[in-house]
Amino acid sequence: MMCPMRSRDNAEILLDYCARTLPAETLERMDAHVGTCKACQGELAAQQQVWSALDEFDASELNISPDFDRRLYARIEAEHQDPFWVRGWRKIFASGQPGGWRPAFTMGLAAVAVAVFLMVRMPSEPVAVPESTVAVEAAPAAVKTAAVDSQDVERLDKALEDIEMLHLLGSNGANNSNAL
Amino acid sequence: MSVAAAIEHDAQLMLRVRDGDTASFALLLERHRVPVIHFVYRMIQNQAVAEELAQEVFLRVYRSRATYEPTAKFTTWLFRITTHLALNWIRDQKNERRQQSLDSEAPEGTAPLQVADGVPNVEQGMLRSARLDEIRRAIQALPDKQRAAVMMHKYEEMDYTQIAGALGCSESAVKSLLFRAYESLRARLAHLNRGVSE
Repeated sequence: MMCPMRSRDNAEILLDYCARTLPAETLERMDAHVGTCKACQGELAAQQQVWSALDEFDASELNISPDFDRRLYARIEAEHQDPFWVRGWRKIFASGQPGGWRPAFTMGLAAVAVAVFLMVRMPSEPVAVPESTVAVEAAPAAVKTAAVDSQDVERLDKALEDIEMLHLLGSNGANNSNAL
Repeated sequence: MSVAAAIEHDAQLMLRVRDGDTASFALLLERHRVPVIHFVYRMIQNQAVAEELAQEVFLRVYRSRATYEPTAKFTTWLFRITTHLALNWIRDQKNERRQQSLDSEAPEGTAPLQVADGVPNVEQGMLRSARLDEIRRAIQALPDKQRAAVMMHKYEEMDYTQIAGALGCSESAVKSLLFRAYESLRARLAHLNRGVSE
């Protein structure tokens, strides 16, 4: 048998051995091993000392109130008198049964909270691109960029028109001088 | 009655409670009242509070009767509720104490409950009481989950699977909790044993 002291994985064997909860076959093998292993003997002695110290913490000396049951049944009776919605609410929040309504309820509540948050944060209508300079100053960065882009195009158009006009004037001037 | 039969019996009783049989609830209460109170008492070391919390445990069992499904052992389920309530109470007390210590310079810790014992003379009684206080303090000093694991392992004789179910963690986590808890207890209680052997 592999010494439990040499492997952390087997450490619980010593606990079980001390608690005498090992299967009979393992118990026999442990008995034989402990007889020859000094490390296990020391560990067992320490564990058994803790075990017997814990035995002294005997709660059986407690005197449980004789009216324990009566008080409990009174509370159960009082709960029966509660309105149906209070009982329903309690069922959701005070259930000890795993996989009850509570997780579903919590998830639903979280989903509603996220939906409300998104509705508040996300604008419902698209933002119109302002035309005036004042509006451009007040607009967010993306809108500003869009407005600046459209102004540049306008200026470029105007510049091209001006060049065309000058070209025309130039050619007209030449024709006129030729004509003169 | 064998252990397996007792487990089956508890689940059967709870299923009958689900069907509206209040006599079965009385039987369950009879069977588990003392272990639940003792467990909570050892966890929090206050009898009045232990009884109050035990009442809450059984109240929750009764409230959950309609949705009860015997997916785990009844005692695992019962101790899951019990541990949950006890750990919550301990957490609330810690918060309250922290708040109080901010307000005033109150001394740390509470006086341990004095339990009557049947020792023959005063000196022996005092020695025993002092020794018991040491043991209580050593248990109290354990982290909450470690303490709960030790209480279930030592006094309720629950196996690792059951303790894992009650604490909502893996079996290997339970083994680790127990290993560390017993290690701390060995260190804290070593002087008691030296006193005895000298």
